[in-house]
Amino acid sequence: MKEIIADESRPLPSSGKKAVAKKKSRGLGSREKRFAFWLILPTFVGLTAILLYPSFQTILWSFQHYVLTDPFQHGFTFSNYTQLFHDHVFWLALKFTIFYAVLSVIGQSIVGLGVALMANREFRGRGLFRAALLFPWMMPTVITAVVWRFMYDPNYGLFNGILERLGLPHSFVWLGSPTLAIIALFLVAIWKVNSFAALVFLAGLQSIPASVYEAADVDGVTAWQKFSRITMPMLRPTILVVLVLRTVEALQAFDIIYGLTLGGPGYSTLNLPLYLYQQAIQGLNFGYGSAMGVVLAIMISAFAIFYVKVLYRPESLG
Amino acid sequence: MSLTEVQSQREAKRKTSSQRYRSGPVRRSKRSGWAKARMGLFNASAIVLGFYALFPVLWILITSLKPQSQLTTQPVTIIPSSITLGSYRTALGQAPFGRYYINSLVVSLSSTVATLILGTLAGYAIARLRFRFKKTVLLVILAFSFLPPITLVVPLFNLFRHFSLLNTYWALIIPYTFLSLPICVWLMNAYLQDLPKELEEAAMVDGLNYFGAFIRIILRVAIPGIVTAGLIIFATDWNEFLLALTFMTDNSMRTLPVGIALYPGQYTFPWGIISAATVLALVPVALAVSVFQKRLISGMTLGAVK
Repeated sequence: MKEIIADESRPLPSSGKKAVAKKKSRGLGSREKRFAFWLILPTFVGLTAILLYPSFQTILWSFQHYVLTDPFQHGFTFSNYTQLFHDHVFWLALKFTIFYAVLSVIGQSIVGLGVALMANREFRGRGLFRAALLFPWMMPTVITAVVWRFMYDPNYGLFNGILERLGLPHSFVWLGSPTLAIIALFLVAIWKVNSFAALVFLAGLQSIPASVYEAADVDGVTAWQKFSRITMPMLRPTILVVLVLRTVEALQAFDIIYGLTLGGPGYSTLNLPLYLYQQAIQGLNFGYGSAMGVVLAIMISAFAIFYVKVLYRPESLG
Repeated sequence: MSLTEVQSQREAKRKTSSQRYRSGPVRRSKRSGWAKARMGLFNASAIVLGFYALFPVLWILITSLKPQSQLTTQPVTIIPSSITLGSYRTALGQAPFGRYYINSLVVSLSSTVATLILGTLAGYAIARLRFRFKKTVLLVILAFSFLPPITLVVPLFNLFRHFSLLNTYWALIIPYTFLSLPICVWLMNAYLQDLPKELEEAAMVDGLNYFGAFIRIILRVAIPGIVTAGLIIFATDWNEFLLALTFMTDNSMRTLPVGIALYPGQYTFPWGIISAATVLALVPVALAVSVFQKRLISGMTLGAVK
């Protein structure tokens, strides 16, 4: 009964009432298309107006002298880019942006993979363990940074306090020297994100069929071989996704640095997003900020393409 | 297949595999002390890692409950001798955190609802209606999620300045709605695709048109998917900082993360109050996590594994 009814709402090319069915189906089909069009239209209009149009404006402004405190000039100019080229703070920020993105993503992925391998095994309190993993992810990034800054405080902070109680050297000014500040920043970045990486890896691990491991057990394969010959290759697509997503985000890191060091001491932890913010929003130099935005967007695309080229192997996507 | 089905299948898979494969070490532990030691080591590192994930949260909780006198001892007091709710009272009473809280709630809830409405409509069309270039439409929508927000800050700032929307809720509701929309469409598409085909057909037999079928039938079945997407989007909006910092310059319009980050005094932080405000900021998301843990994990990882 259900099938007959279902058939009536679909085109019936071989039926006797061919013409009628065709007309009916065309009417139905176009009504369906029209409905789909109206459902998707608001999304497209909104995304274009709020995300795409501003992106084009950024590109346009990067070629204009657009400082809010100066009179607006329409002329086309490369001055923002030449100024960037001669701005040594920009180069410092650019270098640190890449350094931070690469190292933090590597750290987050390695710790995340370890955590995922652990959470993939059966043990008591595993549910609790996984709930604990969600905490760092759900904490607002800037609040995370503020909380860690509190723990790094040289006088009343947790870390120096524990060191003092253990009778160890305890007068570290954690955020006061470039080296210590960078290490401190990486500790926060790894804490904040490794659990996200772990949860994605865990989902990837659970999609590997247990029968593969059982077969390996029969063949008497060692634990290390199982890891390097089965787990890693089968996890490759998941690793690719995590690397791309995380790098794209790490190149745009703003909250964590704003909350922890504000780019200091000196320029030692200043990255492009923070420098862009300082120049464009605090300095009101929209043109200069836009040029930096364009550089950043190009870098993000380059990284994404690089990862996909290196790691994408269609056959392993199964 | 629905999210819950995927979940339950995984659960089942895990159970069978644990009986066969993963119970190996336990069986072997009867044989050697070495395996027992390894299990001990494993448990210890699970505890250490779990603690590592939680200790900053615990520390903030402890600090928020400390009496004023124990906040500035040297070395730091790890376990306070008494606890008090004084910091919470100050945070909500004297400091403007109550106001920040309301701002955050208004902005996050409104933009989450707006995203869900638009995203469910578009996701439904892509998942269940027949039209050409469907894949292209989905990919174009998804490509929007790779536009870096940091490059949008300047033009949006200018746009909202032009329309006098800075320091109004609109300045955040509008961008949040559309920044989360691609992910929402993606999640809803994935969820709705897995529902049985006969749903609309049965509805149309009952005399409903496409719109009626969508409102009366699909929406009802889609609720679990909408809840999952809603939680992830709400958490994202609740935590957003860059746009909130830039577009809300008036102290009374700040959201909670901005309010906490900018609370007076870079160097002499009133830590008790800040900690209390942080704990309060974590409450809505913590509640969501504890109730919907499995849903959240499957939603978060859906895009990555599929």
